[in-house]
Parts: sequence; structure tokens; C-alpha cells
Amino acid sequence: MLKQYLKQAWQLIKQNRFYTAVYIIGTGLAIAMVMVMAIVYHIRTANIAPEVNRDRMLIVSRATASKKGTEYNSNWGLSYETLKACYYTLETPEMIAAAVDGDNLIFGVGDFYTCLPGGKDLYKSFIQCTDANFWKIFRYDFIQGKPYTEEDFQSGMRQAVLSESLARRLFHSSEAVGRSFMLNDVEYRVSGVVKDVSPVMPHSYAELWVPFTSISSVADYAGEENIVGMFTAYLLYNKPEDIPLIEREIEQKRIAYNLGKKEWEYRTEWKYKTDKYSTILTYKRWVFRQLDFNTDFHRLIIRYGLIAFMFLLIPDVNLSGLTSSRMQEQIGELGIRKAFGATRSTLMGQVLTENFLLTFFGGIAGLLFSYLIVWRVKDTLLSRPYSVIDSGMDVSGGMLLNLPVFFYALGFCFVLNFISSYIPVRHAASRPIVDSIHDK
Amino acid sequence: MMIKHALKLIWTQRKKNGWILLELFLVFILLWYIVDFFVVLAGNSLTPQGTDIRNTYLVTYNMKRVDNPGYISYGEGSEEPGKNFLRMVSRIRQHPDVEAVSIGKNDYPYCPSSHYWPFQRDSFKTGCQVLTITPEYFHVFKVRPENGGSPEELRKKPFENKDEVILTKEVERKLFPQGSAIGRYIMDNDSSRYRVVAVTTDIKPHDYTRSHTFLYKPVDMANLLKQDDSGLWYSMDICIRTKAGVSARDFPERFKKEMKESLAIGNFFLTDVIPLSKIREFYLKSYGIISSLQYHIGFACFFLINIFLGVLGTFWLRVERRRSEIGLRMAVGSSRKSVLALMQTEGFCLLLLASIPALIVCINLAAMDIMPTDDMDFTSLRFLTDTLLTYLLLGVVILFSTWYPAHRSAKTEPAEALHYE
Repeated sequence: MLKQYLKQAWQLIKQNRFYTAVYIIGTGLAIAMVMVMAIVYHIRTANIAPEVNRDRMLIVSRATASKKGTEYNSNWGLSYETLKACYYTLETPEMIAAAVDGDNLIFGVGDFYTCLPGGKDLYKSFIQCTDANFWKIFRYDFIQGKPYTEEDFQSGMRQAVLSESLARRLFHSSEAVGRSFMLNDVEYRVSGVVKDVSPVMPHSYAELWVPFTSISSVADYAGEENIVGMFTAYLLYNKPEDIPLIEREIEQKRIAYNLGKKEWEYRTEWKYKTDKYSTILTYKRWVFRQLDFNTDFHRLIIRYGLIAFMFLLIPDVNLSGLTSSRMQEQIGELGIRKAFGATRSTLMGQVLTENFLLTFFGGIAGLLFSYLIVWRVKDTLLSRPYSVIDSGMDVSGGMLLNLPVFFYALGFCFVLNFISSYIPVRHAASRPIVDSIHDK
Repeated sequence: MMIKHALKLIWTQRKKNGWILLELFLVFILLWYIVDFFVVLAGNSLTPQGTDIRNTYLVTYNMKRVDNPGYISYGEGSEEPGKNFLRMVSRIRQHPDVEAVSIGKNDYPYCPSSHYWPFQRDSFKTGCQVLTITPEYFHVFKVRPENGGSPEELRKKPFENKDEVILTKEVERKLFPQGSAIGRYIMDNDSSRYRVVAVTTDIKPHDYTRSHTFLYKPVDMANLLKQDDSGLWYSMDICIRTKAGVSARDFPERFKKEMKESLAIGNFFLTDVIPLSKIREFYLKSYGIISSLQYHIGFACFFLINIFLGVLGTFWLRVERRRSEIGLRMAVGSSRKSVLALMQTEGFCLLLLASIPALIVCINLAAMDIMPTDDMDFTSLRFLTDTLLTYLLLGVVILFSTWYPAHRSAKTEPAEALHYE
């Protein structure tokens, strides 16, 4: 049965080139737009190395210091003191790490330059200052050596991990372990070299990593009674049920911490006009917050859902119109076949198969077109929010060619096809035989 | 005549026109919303921004930290850091290519950080973005007084005492709706009083929005000398304007090379010279204005292509089906041109029909305050421009998408078309 449908479908495609072309282009366009959204969503939220724990991570990148008794707020990141008092001592999370990257450091410390000892060729480098646990939460690919240890971190040792590109730039080789270089006129030793990370990774991209205890101005830079600073805390949890437990534990520590403060207090809530948002976020929520910090999470989902719906709806109406017009042409033929005993479902099956074949081709075309769009516009689509890095968003093959992406594509195709074909086809196939034959 | 004909055709085929009418209805509304975005953008870019950043640069510097070699530890309360900073500024001023230098607290056009304070006068209240500057700022960025005079006039105003401030026109409108603000007083939240010594023209934070409330305060020189290295570095920025004729292409590198040694004073050292145009670029990017523009263009293209395909498809299939009718028309004397004209008229009539309910929805969107007004008020001019441009865009698409089917059908010989029964 199916074979016959496919044979007939193929015949029809060859005969109606215009219809086929418009159908495929229309489908391709719709699929391309929703696939771009799906691909960007996948790249931003799926577990991709080094951020392999995105689905079990809480991020605290913002902190609010509130002047006691007033509505005056100061918003930034966590200070080292707040980090130690409210986050490092938590027991529920499996692992706790902290870091601060180049974008935040610019305000507190300025730019970082690397060069060889005695060298004059200064290279502005994008840096991430981390603790030792950072390397346990994010999985980097070490070409040589290893990360700095907990002891290195505690004693503020001047050790560094370099990206392969930076190692090559400085030493003309990726074998750099044990060698020295200057970071803002201070000597550091290389403890490890990692494979380059794409700037697309908001929490793990850098050209070099050092323990933040090795640079005094990083840990010291704080404001509002030492409450806010530049740090982001990462909390790894075992199962989603742990999240409310972690939040409760943080709340207890926060209250205790604030008792020791005179004028200011630390709040984990961000206020905008009359809305309040938590600053303790799962990875997905953090991604949406970056898009629009001041809109409710659910409203954002609705907004993007509507956009995706619209991308499918408008072409759907197009395709329905097209299908319906074509059905008019075939009314006579349908009538005759019905008179000879074809059931409504047989007739519908035929046309739906045809349309699905076209949708399938349109879907492939759309998927390829979406890859093209993502590749051409990646700097905007995958941009780092509020970052000095605004280009070079490398997208690896693995980010585009993977099962989730293909399933999204297939799903959209199916939905599109079903909605646009079902109504017109059912309508046409339901007409009484006499009407159909007469309508010639 | 033709319109009547077209409407008749539409009516007889109304069932088949359902889909294209629905699509035109939906797309009209969505396109109208997108066109509005561009109308606001374009409309705002026509009004002056208020500052001139051509030939201006931000001179950035950093300071040695405790762990750096050559770090000098000044005692607490030492005025040396402040004096070192001012020495840097005066050496910059002496450079032959520099016309003017201003210093201030994180404050220059398109600065990523801003300080916002509430101010009031009697019962009138407004928030203002506060810039702490020296009078040369007006020269560097060519800010003019409200009566259209030269920046020099602002520079000469008394602007040294802590309580002397200069406002932009928008602040005057908000706090002194009836008259002039000059010579009068305003208060901040701590009840400190400030005397308004001048009012400038309207100033916009960037080209694509409305004018904002800005307030200028003078740098407290006495306080500056009491700051240590960190205090100065975290707050004081240095902006310069180069003399006319200085090439923008090589100035930053040249300046850095020439001034590297003389600007290494105390713990301070020169790091970069950034043209304000770059800072503006970064500002627009980080506020999402550039990407917003790209997304809107993308959406508009998507809708227009869909309408193109939709109308093309509809008319093509209609042509296929109505060959006999078209043949008949041509046999009784219709020219190809009139066949095309009829189709286009039919297309425009469909557009008009679909646009009536669509416009009702658009009017409701405007009335329900859904249209964004952050950057521009929703006036009837804005509404009219949006509507006309939407009609224009869709009209052009219909013009093109009816052309090919009409062309095709007109190519058939009347006899052949009649035979096609």
C-alpha cells in the first residue's frame, strides 16, 4: 500500500513541478527558522564540553547589597567574603566552585597582558580566575599537564593553565608545562595546557586560567561592606529534589551572615520595579535571564514559544492554501475514485503521503538552510552577553549534527505537515461523490 | 470598473480565497509590528543626539599593584597619587595633537556604567543620570546650551562649587514645566540643594531613543587630591578631543608610542587610546540594539517571502484552472496587459479586504499600550507611517508575485486556452 502511495506521489511530484517547488521552499523556510531557534537553544543549554554538568548545576552570578531600612540597592556579583560565608561552606551540593572571568575583571582590575619573561610583545589575553574545584565541575581536555591543585589555590601559587593557542603563541609549541611567562609583569608557571574552548561557552571560555588567590586585587575587590564583588558561584547537585534544600541552606547562611553587617545586607533577590527574581538559578534559567534580566521566566518562554509558533503558522496557512487549491484540481478524479469504491481514508492516505514526502524534502532543505543561517549569523545568535568577546563564536560539528537536533527537525516537519495537510485534504475527500464529479 | 470586476471575482471564489485572506490578515499585523520598530529607529535617528564624538578618544590607564615590580607605596593621606594623576592629565594636554582634555567619573557618551539619582523640585520629581565632569567636557563633546549657542558658553559658566549643576533640557521640562530652571534650586534625596547654572540642548543616550534626563556636576578637585591610587583608578576617566585634521587612523598608536614614557607617573601607566566610535559600537552591541535590528530584518524578510510564495502560489494555481476563462477573455479582445492588470487588482483587493480586520487589531494593539513606547511616543503620525509602509511593502510583493502567473497565462494562445477544457 505504502509503496503504491510513494510511487504515485513521485509521479505527481514530477508532473507538478511548480507546486512541488513552492511547497518545498515554503516548508524549508519554516523549518529553517524554527531549527535556528532549536539549534541555538541546544548549543546554549545542552551538556557540551567543557560544560558537561549544565543539567545539574546552580549558578549564582549576581548578588544584591541592600542598604538596611532603605530601598537603595547595589547589584553586582559575589564578593570573596560572601562566597566564603554563604557558599563555600554549604553541605548539600556535591561540589562548589567559583570563578570570575575577563569581562568582569575589566571593571575591577583592568586588562591582562601576557608575554615571555623579558619580552616586549604584550598580548591582551582573556583570563578566567578560578578555584581548584572549578576543574572538577567543568571537563577540559588536557593535552599536557594538569590543573592547579587545592594546595596551590590555598597558598595563592602563581600557576596557570593555558589554552593550546596561547601556549603556541607564547612558546611556539603546545608543550609548555613547567615553563614561565609574565602576566601583567608577574611571573607564572604553566601547570597544564588544554584544548581550545569556543567563546560560545559562557562559563568556561578563556585563553588562560589562574587561581584567583594569586592576584590580590581580584579577591580584594569588593563593595558595600564587602558584600558584592566579581565572583560567580557554581553549585553541583545530585538530583532536582536537592535544589529547594540547597536554597534553604543558603538562606540560613545568608541570615547569619547579615547579622554581622552594620549598614548593608546581602540579598539573593533581584528586584525590578515590582517584580522580584531569585539570583540562584539553574543553567537554563540563567540562559534566559541573560536574554532579558527583567522579565519573568515564564513570560519569556511564552514569548519565544509564540515566535516559534508564528514561524510555523504562517507557512502552514500558505501550505494549506496551496494544498487546498490543488485539491480543487483533483476533485473530479477523487469523485471518480470514490465512485469506484475508494474509501475516504484511502484517498486521504494518498495525499497525506504525497505531502509528507514533500515536507520531508522541505525539512532537509530547511535543516541545511538553518545550518547556513547559524554559521553566517553565529556571532549574534550565540553572543556572550555584556562581553568584550563579540566574534569568533566557533561552532563545532558536534553542536549541529546530533540526535537532539535531528529529532527537533523531524518533530517540526511532522507538526507542520499534519496541520497544513489535514484540514484541506479531509475536506476535499469528504465531499459527496456526485458533487465531486460534477465540479469539473 | 476593474475594481468592481475584481471584487466580483473574489466573491465568487470566496471559499478558495479563504486561506490567502487569512495569511494576508496575519502577516499584515505581524509586518505592521515590525515596520513600527523600523519607523521608531529611523524617526529617532533623525533627531540630533546632542554630543559629537568625532575625533574624541578615551585614554585608559592602569595602576601597578602591590605585587608588581616598581610599585610605590604612598602613605595614607598622601596627595601624591592625586598629583600624579593631574600630572598625567597636563602632559596629555600638552601633546601637539590634543585640543582639549576632560576628566570625570566614569562619564563619557556611551559609557557602560551609569549613576542614577532621584531629584526633585517642590512636587516635581525625576531620576537623572549624573555625570561628574570638568567644564572642558562640553568642549570635548561639543555640548551646546539650549539657545543653540557654542559649547564655549557652557564652559565659562560657574561650575566649581559642589552645588553648581548643569541640566539637559529634558530635566528642565520635568522639574520646571512652566519656566526656566536657570538660577533656581533642585534637591536630591538627602535634601542637598543644587543651583542650576545652565541648561543644555536635549541629549540622547544613543541615536535610536528619546532624549533623557542628564545632570552634570563638577569634579571635586579637593577630594581628588585626597584619593589613593585605587580610588582614582576606579573613578576617574580621561577623554580628549584631537585638533581638526589629525588623522584618526594612526593617532592611537602614535600617541601610545610617543606618550608611553611620559605617562608612566607614580603607579599609573598608559594602557590604551580608544576612539569613542568603538565605545559606541560596544555600547550598541551590549544593549542589544544591533542584534535587535538584525532579528527584525530577519523576521520582516521571512514574512515578506512567505507572502510572496503565498500569493504566487494562489494565483498560479488559479491561472492553471482558469485557462479556459482567460482564453475566452483574450478571444474577445482582452490584451495581455489587461489580464495582468486584472490579476494585480484582484491581489490588491484581497490585500485591502484582509487589512480591514487587521487594522482593527493594530488599532487595538496601540490602544492597549502594547506597542513599545520606551523610545518614542505612540503618536498618530507613527501609526500612519506604520500603516502606509506596511501597505507599500505588501503591495510591492503582490505586484511582483502576480506578474509571473499573469505573464505565463497571457502567453497561451486563446485557441489553445479555450481548448483546455
